[in-house]
Amino acid sequence: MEKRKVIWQLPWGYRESIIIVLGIILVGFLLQISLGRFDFYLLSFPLNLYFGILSLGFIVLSVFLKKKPFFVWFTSLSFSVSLLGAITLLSIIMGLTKQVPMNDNTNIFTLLGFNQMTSSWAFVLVYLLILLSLGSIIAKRKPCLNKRYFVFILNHIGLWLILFFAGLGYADLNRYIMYVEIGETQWRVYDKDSKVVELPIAIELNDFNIEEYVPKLAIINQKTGEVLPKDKPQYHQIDTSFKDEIVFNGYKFRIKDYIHNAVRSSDSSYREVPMKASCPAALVELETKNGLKSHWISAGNKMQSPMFLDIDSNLALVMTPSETKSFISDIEVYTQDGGYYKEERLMVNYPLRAGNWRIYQYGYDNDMGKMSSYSSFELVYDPWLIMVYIGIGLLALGSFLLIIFGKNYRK
Amino acid sequence: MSWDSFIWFALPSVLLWIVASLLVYKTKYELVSNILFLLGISVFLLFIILFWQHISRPPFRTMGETRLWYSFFITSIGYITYRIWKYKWLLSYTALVGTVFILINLLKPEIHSTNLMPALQSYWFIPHVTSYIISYSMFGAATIAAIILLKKLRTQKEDLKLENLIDNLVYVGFGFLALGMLMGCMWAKAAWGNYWSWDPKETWAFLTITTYLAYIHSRIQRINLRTSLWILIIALILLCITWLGVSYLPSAQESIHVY
Repeated sequence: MEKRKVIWQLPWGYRESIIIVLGIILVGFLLQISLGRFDFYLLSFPLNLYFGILSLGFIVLSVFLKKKPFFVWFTSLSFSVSLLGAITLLSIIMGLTKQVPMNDNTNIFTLLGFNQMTSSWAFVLVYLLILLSLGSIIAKRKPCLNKRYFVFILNHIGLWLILFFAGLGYADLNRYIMYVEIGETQWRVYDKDSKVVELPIAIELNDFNIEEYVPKLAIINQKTGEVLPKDKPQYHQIDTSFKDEIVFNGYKFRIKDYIHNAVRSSDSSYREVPMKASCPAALVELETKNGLKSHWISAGNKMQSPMFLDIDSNLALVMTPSETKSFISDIEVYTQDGGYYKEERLMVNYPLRAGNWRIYQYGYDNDMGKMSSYSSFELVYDPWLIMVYIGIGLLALGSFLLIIFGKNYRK
Repeated sequence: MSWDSFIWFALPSVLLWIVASLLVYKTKYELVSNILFLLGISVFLLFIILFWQHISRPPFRTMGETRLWYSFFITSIGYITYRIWKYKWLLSYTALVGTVFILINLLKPEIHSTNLMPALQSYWFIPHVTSYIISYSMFGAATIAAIILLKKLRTQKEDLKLENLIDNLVYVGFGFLALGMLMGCMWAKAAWGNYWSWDPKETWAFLTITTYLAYIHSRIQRINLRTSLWILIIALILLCITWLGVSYLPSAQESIHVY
């Protein structure tokens, strides 16, 4: 029978790897207790560049020394899987603990940084080791022209690029919120600590518009305001093609007319006026015991009062306030170095790229809705983004090949 | 073609898919099954096209409309994956999931008019979700196979074929999982400027994916098979927490993924 290897005898396997990884986590905890959280902003340019070069140096060194027992172990699957286990374990703790931006109270969990896991020393050290080990593994593998190597290299380099540039580039990533009044140009923003700073980039807001969905109808109890039926409120989506009779909650009615941008023109009528103070209105014809009853209804807004149709002394047919479909800013962007960008329809999910800046539609004056006099933007400066995207591209290609090739078996 | 006519397209599609996914197990009728399944997809696609024309805008505005695309893509990708890997159960499975989405649309008509909020109006929405559903099905199947294999190993029987099947399912499932996650990153970047922000759902997705990575690497290394299989079972539990459980965690009350 083969005798079991004595611990710490070369080559190192799982037992040694697990002990070393646990040791590193312990070191992380001690650093955390003595120094407090890891401050990522220490790693801002150019320190992260030096650090990156140093890591690359380590990886190159690992190629030359790949036969040495230390590097054989450092690039071994046992060590990789142990590191994966460690990052998973720390992530489980993070997934179960509410993460907070500021650490105020002190108990054993917060002392070890569990409520700010990604900036805890243990997490950062394990992350760093994954970066170095993954890099050395990629560098060690002999290139060859088979699909196995191809899938390996796409997935591993892709992941390494993402980890490297997202981790080391984090300190260079800046996010700001900017509020701009319609017709004005602004370059002052709020930073992450809500301090006002001036940026080398300015936004001119030409116009701001909100597009709204066609609203719904509901029947409410006039006294309580509850939507009927009480236990399961029902809403009827207005169909703007005014079709047939609608039976809703037992009442029959037709929508005779619908104006999306309506302004009240008399006590009992609306007309189309495409202005910001307009709101949707519908002419509804209700069938009652005493014959047809027709009336304009509208949810109203800050400028216009709501209108509803009395069904009887208890119930009324009302229109719900419109839900926001999209909010759109028409902006022009100027940078200090003479750059000029323009976007007439800046909206959620469709940011504007201006050099290393990305400008996102962020918000507006919720109370005023369509009549909001300003629009707010989030400005994100991320000089390393392109490298992360290259990583994402490689990894996506690698994942796609995993689906096509599956696992290759040696016959 | 409005929602009123949906049932006249949906039911034939569902029927075709069900018949096809039953016939596929009979080798004699495999070709027929293929034709019926594709026919089902075509009928469904026809509805989407006619509906699109009727409403004269892309059908992408309400929850009901996004479900149309789920049904279409899940069956289409399921069919392609079945053709590549010959997993017949996958055809039945995607037919089932496609049918569930159709039934939701038929039985809960109010879903037609539930409008999408601005952040959800993205072309990443449907591929992101579809990719995840497919990967979950692969991992689900792999885990069932792993439990069967663990049972067999008790009686000291090896089953190389089953072992290879599990590995393959995990590889393909992992491909879809990673693609789903990367598309989520792209979407997150476009929507709120961060490709990754350690939102609780993201944290759980991350540790799920690292656990599957641990399985894949433990198999390359050929460590004790039982240990690997147990990693796979734990991974599925983590996956289920990510998928269904995160909303209930106290740590996730402000998550952007909880609606």
